Amino acid sequence: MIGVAVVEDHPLSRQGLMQIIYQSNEMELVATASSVGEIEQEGYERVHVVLLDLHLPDAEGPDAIMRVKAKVPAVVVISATNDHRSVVDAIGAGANGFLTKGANAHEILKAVTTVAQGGAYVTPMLAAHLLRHAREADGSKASLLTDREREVLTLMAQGETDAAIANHLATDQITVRSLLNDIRDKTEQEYQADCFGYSREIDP
Amino acid sequence: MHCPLFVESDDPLHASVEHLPLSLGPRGRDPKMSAPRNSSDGSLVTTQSRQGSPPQPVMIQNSSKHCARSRRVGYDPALTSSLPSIPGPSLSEPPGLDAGTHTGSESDQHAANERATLVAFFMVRSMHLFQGGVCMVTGWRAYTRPRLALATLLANLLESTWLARRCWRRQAYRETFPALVDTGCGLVSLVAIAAATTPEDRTTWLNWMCPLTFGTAAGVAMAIEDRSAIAWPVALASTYVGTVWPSMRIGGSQVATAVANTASYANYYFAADRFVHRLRRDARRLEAARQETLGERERLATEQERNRQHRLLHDSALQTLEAVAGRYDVEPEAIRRQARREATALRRAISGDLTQLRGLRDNLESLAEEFAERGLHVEMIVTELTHEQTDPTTVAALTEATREALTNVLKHSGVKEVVVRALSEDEGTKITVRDQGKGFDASSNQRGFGIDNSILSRLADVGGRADLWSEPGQGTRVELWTPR
Repeated sequence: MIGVAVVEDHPLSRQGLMQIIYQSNEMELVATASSVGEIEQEGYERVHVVLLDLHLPDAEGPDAIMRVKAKVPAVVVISATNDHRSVVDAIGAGANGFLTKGANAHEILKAVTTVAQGGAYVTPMLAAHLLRHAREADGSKASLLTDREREVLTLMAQGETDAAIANHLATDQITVRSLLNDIRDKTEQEYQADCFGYSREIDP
Repeated sequence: MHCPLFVESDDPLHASVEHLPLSLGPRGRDPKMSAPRNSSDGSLVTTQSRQGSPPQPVMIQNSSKHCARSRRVGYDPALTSSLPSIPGPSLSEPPGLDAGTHTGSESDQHAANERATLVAFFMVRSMHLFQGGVCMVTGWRAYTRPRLALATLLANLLESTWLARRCWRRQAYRETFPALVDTGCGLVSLVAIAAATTPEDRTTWLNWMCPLTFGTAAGVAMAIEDRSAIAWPVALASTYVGTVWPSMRIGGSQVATAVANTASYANYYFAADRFVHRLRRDARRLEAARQETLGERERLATEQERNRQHRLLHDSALQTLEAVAGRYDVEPEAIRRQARREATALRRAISGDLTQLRGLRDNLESLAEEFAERGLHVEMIVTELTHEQTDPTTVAALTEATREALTNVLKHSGVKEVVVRALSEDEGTKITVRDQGKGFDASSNQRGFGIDNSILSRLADVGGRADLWSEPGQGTRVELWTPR
């Protein structure tokens, strides 16, 4: 069973997320809170994945993500906004997945399952943001991503399935997944090195 | 040694100019015009010492714009608190005036003032050196040791050149060390010139070092804005008095000249002090006023933005919420549609990503909305649309072609999801529409599956093209492309 905590201040959204987790057989809702302070008070016992709203009353985006990531291995952000800055800031702060509030139950469950296994949940939308980020970093420093990594992201952003990507790269889906994980880790490390001059240890 | 200090009348600029052609005769300065420096001037001293703290240049330069954002939203409280609200000097604490701390945070006006003062100072110095040269040529025989006098002139020439170069590089004469060197040079030269002339001649034009060191005294006032620096012109005046002391016994006119010249040290020092002080204070006030205006403008912009947001919320979400909360008999599907429209509008309003192309992006997002209402979930990815696609015909062609592709997905794919990615490339704009539906045999050219010919010709009209790929069971991919 995957222990899930929902941190969301909007009552309707929170209820919706709780409902989705309740109805899953592989997940258990172990905590809910409407702010980071509240979940910190409650504690993170048995929590494997936190579903985190990006705009909470006591902590904005990256700040909230970093506070939660200090205690919990995986965070999936659920945000009302998906502009480039918000997405890159969230991944840079350590989010393992980024969903918009329009995401359906199936997608949310898939994201939680993926990140609980230590993976990054990369949607076509997230892939496009990561590509744009890597492209904008070009020229200012050594290439952030390898050609192969860019290819994976491009195919992902175009809406190809894992199987199709693996087929295209003449590899298997496990390799595709691990490439996506590497890309997320790299983006986070580069982001933090950029902001603080050092790399934070990434939780395995 | 007693050293009378006099202060010039109210106009410091006038005073310093008036004294440029040196009066070595008894004409000098009318002592009646000068008032002893009284204690009321002490206010100047206290003002200066209060403002004595050096300006702290707090220009935060972010190596990356990403960091700027993440800091703003508060990664680390320590980092955040070190950020100034307005770069440069703050309003409550005007930049200080300490010597040698001229920084980039001060205003252009300030820099221009410093440069002008510098030019004035060195013009006066050049004139004095020129005067020394004239003395050497015309009075060579009058000196008891003409070579010593010449050596003194050359030494001063060298020292002044060094000073000018150093100050010009810093664009200001505002540090203690060169002032110390200049004063030291002045002291030694005063003694040297005295040694090169007879006691009778020390109060005449042959003693060109005397006017030169008036300038040195003025320079000290410029360089060091601390009243204790008065010790230096006092030292210069004392040395001058020491060298002309033997002349005093000769006659009344020598005494009068000596007294007038001694007073001139004080005149020069205080005149320069007040002049420079006033210039720097004005520049500081100007800068503070500028900052205040900037702050005011920022406040105004914030307020306008708040009003705009209030209006936005009032016109959209608030009305819908009232409709939901109220007891009107509204069909749930209508509420859902309205909510979706407003969510999209609000998201667009708050993301405010101005680098993105408005026309095409807006059209595509409206398409996503439109198809969502018809039951097709479109993952519309527009983040890579980073360049302006300005031509309205191109925008319309791309929009219509995308609509056509989405309609085909809705009709034929059998799935309820599709990914649309719009991308700015170096030479054009590309839109990919990809579904994971039934697909079809693209080579069979079944009617109704491809892209309508009218759409193809519209794309071709703007130099664009469309490609279609599909295989049974593999879904469909449509690629639309137009040049920039």
